Amino acid sequence: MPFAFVDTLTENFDEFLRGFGTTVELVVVSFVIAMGVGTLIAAFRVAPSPWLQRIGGLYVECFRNIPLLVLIFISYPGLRRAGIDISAFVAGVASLGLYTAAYVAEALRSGVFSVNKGQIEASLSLGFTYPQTMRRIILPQAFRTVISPLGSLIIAMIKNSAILGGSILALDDLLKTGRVVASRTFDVIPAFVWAAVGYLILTGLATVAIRMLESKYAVRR
Amino acid sequence: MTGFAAFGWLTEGNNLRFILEGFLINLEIAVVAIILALIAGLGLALLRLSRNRVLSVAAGVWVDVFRNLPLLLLILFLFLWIPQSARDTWEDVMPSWMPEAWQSGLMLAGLSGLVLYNSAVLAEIMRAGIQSLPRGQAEAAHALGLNYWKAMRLVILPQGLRRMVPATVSQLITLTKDTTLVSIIAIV
Repeated sequence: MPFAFVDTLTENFDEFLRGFGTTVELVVVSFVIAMGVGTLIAAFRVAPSPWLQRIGGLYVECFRNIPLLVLIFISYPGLRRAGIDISAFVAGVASLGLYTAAYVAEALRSGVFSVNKGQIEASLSLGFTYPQTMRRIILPQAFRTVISPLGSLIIAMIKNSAILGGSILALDDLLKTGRVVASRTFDVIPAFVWAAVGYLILTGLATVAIRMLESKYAVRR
Repeated sequence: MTGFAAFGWLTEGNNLRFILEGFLINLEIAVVAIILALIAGLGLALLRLSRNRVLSVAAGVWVDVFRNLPLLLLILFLFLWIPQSARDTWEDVMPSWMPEAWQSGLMLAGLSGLVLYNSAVLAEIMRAGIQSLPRGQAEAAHALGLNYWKAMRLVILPQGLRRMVPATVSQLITLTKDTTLVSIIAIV
């Protein structure tokens, strides 16, 4: 029996590797989107203008409270029916990225608020403009305090990336590979266990990387 | 397809009723999964904190594995792996007054996936809550002559669980959103 277990991996190794690669690709692209959009929205939420704050708040409330699967339904079949020719990959990473961006924005906002208000006042009175204050004084400190919340978001994102492969998008990621192998060989348990091992490798690596970053940068309290 | 015309389908036929029925099913799954996951999570947290080394390591591995796997992977795996006989048993024991969606054996896979994943996450939250208490609390309870279970029930858990309310609530919101995933294994 244990050999049959290993056989499932060795016989389908290329397929599993491709699935693993796709999952990594999905996670990396979504992460870039999530960080970019999330930082922008967080900046909106802490901006001095009430209108920008409202827009940021609306974004966060919408994307944080809609399940990812519903976002996927809106962004892929929904947009295609509306006549926009969007590919499954783009719809997937956009959904996952924008969804995670709302969480990133909340994490960054709480990080910004953890920086003493006096620092903003001091930097404004020294003649920095508001964007300069953000970029040079507040955000570098905020990023340090939010390393661990961001880390758990990355791990959640790795896990959520499985939804892209399992749902109607049917991207060839690790979960989809596991499913395909399971239904072709009828070795359900080994196929899913190997897919699970792939995800555990990713989340494990992320955990280790975050621990290292934390011990290097995190603010001791 | 401009303005409210895009929502014309909502009032056509039984569409609104279907949507509301679906909403109700999500709600039912969420409530049942929340109750089961809270109970299982507390059990796992207590095992994790147990003084028996084997139990605590085993619970730790269990929690770390299921917490780090995608929920959808668990649901799909259970969907394919749970034998037909177990599904049939579920369909037999489910009383007929339960809603139609619950009569399906697929619910077993969806529900156990949700509970497996969320109980592991909640166990970790509860463990953190319990461990955040100063050690003196447990020591004082023992010094007062309370045994392990009494100390847990009367001193540690009431304080520890209160501390983890915000984290638990946010996880339960995530659980509620994750009930959408059971649609992938065609629970309608």
